[in-house]
Amino acid sequence: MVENGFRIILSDPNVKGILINIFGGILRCDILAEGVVQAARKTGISVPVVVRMEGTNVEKGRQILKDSGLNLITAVDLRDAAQKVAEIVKA
Amino acid sequence: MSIFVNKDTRLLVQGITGKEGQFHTRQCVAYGTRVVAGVTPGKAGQNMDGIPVFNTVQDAVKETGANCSMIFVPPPFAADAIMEASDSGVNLIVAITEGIPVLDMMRVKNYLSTKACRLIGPNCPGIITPGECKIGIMPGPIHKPGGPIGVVSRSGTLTYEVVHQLTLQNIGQTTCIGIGGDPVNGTNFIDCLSAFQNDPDTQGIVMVGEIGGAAEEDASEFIKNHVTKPVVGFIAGLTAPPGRRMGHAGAIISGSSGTGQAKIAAMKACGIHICEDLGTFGPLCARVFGK
Repeated sequence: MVENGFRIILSDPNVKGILINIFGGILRCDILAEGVVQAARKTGISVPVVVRMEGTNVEKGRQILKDSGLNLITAVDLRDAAQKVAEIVKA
Repeated sequence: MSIFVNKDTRLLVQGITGKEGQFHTRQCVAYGTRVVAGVTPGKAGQNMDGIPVFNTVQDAVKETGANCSMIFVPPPFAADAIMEASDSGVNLIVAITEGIPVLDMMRVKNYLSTKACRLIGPNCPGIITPGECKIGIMPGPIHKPGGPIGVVSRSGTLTYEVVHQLTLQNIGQTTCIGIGGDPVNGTNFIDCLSAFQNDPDTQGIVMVGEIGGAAEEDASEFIKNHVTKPVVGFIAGLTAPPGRRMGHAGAIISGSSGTGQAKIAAMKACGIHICEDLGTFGPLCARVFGK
């Protein structure tokens, strides 16, 4: 699911960064994190990715992102996430 | 105090043996909800973590005194599950299922019009009275018990976002309700606003709407005439192009109606404090609710 999302977004050459914002309820953060890691490995993401995660199983999710060794930028809240991705894109 | 659910609510779960039903039943139990029964046709006599499973809602109510049902039944069978629950004597039905056909829901809505029970959802996160009872899929720990704010929303994720920001401001909640993102649903904004207005412990209300339909406009009119408590509102989907469905089945601008701008104008005209930037929702609430 995440992989398809990345593929669709990255098919647009104007995309300079990706912001993922999830407040997990029925979608568990650990499942999302695994999806992000797999998708990043498969599609070889060429732009910076900012991830902001809260909600169900958030600790597990953050651990998965941390252990992945991928160059993902994490944000603490919505505002922080938006600012981080905006700065990257402007730079 | 709270609205619709509290520590005495006795919950049964339709679809308790399914993957999502199991996971979220466990989360509800862990939060402290009294889950007394499950229903899965053909699995009577089994149990899920010691919770007895019955073939029918009627059997479950008779044996356990359940007064509320949470539904995780897949879309093709969900309408039937809601109607079965409404015939069994529970007074509240919370339908989590996403993807119930609109035509099915029209049948359900008509069927429920002669019953005394309330339906929340479908396609919703459920309802929680923090510290007492969680019925649904929302993450429990982001809530702060004890009030004084009531929350009502059409969106799951946005409910979690605003609740989390309230909690970070040290503002607790009386009850938080997701009414769901489908075009045909049970409990609406006005039902919740009216209940919050009548709840002595609720001193302010947060209302989160989105594009599509006229529920926010109707609610604004109701607030102007019947609600004396301060209301903070947010509308999702301001950048949505007309004619495109934005995630929820009901979130679509048709012609010139249902736009975010029109909703915000209506809400402002009725005295609702509008949050323009979701990232600053908490601080705005702190100012409006005087904390």
